[in-house]
Amino acid sequence: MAELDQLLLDPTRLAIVSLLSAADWAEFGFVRDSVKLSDSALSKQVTTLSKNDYVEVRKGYVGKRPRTWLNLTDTGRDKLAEHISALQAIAEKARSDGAHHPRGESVP
Amino acid sequence: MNEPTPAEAAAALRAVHEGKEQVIKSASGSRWMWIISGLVAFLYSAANDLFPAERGWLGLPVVAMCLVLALSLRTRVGGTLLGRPVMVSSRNLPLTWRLLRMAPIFGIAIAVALIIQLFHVPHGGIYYGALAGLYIIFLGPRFQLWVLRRQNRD
Repeated sequence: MAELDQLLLDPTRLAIVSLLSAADWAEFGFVRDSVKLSDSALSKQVTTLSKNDYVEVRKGYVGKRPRTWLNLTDTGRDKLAEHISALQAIAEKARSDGAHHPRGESVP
Repeated sequence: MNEPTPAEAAAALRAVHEGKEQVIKSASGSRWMWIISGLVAFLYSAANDLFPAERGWLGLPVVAMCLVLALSLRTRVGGTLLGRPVMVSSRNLPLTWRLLRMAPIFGIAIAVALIIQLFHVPHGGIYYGALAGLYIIFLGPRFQLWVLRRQNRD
């Protein structure tokens, strides 16, 4: 059975990883604006994710301006897929329990 | 580990879907790129039709432009220079769906070729270029979104 991932239980980290899962790479600024975080808050979360090998950080220059790009590693993709399966199992179990024990019916 | 409640799990799944959707929507972000591509398709087809003797070299700048554009969009620096802060992944997209992205252009080509053949319409290249250009400008971004959403759903 799929297991929940401790790191991805945090909604902000889950939002970042979900965003990156649909991309080959994304600019730091794009991720920051999409998840509505400050530079420092995103930087902190990215450090945690990259230390655990979920996210890869690449730095470079476009003209004279420094840029940072983020991408999800294969480990990150696998962990997200497993986390999603675990979440789906929880939601599915609640649905099937609800179907077996409709509201108002007493459970022995 | 605190297991999320069913409501929290459902909310987290919604957040995952929304995150992916945000990236997919950005795939059609650079409107000017679709407009330029549509105009190039039209001008190339029209020029081929009007100046058949120049066909030999007319394709070279178009092929070069397509190559530069395609390679630039695949790289981080190139994408940033072209105003694309994110490269949408199509790794989960089956080969048939990848090929389907080109299908409308070939469909238009076959339809125009049939009409030209049946009704002996002159300057078919111009009509094909106009239709292909209009498709790229107006329907290209929508079709791209539709195809990319397939992998989000599957």
